[in-house]
Amino acid sequence: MKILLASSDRDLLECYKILLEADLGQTVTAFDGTQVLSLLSSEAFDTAVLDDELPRIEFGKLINQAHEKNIPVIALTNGADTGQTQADAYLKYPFDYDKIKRTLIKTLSDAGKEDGNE
Amino acid sequence: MNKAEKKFRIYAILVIFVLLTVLLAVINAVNFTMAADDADRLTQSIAERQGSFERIENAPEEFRFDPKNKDFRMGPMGPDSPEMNASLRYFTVAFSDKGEKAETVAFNISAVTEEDAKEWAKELLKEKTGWTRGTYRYRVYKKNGTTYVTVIDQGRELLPSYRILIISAVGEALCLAIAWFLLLIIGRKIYAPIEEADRKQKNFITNANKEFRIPLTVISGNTELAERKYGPDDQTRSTRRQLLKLNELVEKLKTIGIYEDENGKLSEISLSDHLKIALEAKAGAFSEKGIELITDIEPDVKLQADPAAIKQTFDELCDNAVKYSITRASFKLKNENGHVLIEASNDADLPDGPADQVFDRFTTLNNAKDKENGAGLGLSYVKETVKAHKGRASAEVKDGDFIIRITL
Repeated sequence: MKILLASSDRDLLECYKILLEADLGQTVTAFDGTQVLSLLSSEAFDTAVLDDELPRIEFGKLINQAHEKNIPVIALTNGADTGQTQADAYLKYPFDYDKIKRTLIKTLSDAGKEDGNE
Repeated sequence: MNKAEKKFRIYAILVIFVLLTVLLAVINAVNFTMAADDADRLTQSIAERQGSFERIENAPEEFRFDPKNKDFRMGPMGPDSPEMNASLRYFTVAFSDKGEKAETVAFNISAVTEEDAKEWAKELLKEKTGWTRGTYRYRVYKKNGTTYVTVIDQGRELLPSYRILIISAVGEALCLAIAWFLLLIIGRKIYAPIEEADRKQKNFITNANKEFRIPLTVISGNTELAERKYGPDDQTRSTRRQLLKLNELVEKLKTIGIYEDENGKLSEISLSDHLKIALEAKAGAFSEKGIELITDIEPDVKLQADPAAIKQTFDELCDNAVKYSITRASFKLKNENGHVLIEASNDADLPDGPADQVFDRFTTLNNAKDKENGAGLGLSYVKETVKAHKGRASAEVKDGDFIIRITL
């Protein structure tokens, strides 16, 4: 399993990368929209966990790009405008690790990508 | 326009109105009293001259014009002035033989005939002194067995007083109009910063709500990491407990922020059902803490209200009861005179007295028995909701019971 984790907060990336890699699989991090786009086009991911306010690129465009590659998107959100984007799942800050893990597993199984790593 | 600003203007104008009215009333009352006093002194000096005020041949020193004395000044004419007789409109009737025989001692008035003067004087015989028929001042006095009645016309003397009275009334109206206009400008100046502060506070709440969320997520993740590395201990458990509190606080901040921005959609809902559901959800928590729950909920109490806000309000009230009750909590809901009354009470270790401060943000009552204090936002949300539904909420401690009363 390969996860793309994107947030503009590097502390968040650092600690959740360690946790997700320990439990679920390889986790690649990005801290702005440009990075997400280039990672999406250059690497294959099973799922993308993206903050919905990433700098530089509009969130809708990132979702479209991921969906084109058949990658389900989990949106990390502050609670505003959840209805306007087409993410596959939403995770509202503040969440704990258990919640992000459960959401990831559920999203992957919904998308038929469960790979038995968990 | 801001409601508080309007209130301020009405109170300010009321204060100005009362002050001006008192001031002008005192000025006019003193003025008329002094006029009456002057008239009395005049009738007194007529009385001293046996009812007739003839020309005084030798005016007292201070009233005598002296061409050599360049410092001589004549002041306003008082009742003692020797010139008084020239401008005096009056008559005096003398009654002898126990009032049988009437005779005019002095008569210098146009409005009255001598015959009428005698009739009039007879009417006044039993009196002492005072005003009669508008601006006439009279005095009844006895000298050598004869009773005299002197009536003087003070119409001209009172004219300035009446003018001042009218000017006062018009002036006051004008002052109030100007004050109202100035208050419009000043009110804006005073309230603009207050509104700005209010807006900033709301902004802060919205921002704080947002800005807290990611750090909380990071702290939570790092706590998880620390527990994996070193195993869970008291410190990580305490961090998790504090995180829970902060998460709860952030959720409440969010609801407050939203609620202040706009009113929710109203629809007719059953308050009874909402309260029952809220209480059922907390039934476990109540029994776990050994709190006896007493309910008296009238069925089918309906209200046009915002369902989400009402749900949250009832949740907060139940939350509060779970947190702060010692042995028992009670909820009442009923319809009375077209209003909905909600009463939530619980036993508490608190001194008696009003406790409306619980509705302020970040305020909790100091409860020595329970260290599990909340953030102090729940009841402020309750108050906001009640206010938005045009209701009233009050809180007090009575006979050791903490009681919240809501009228909707």
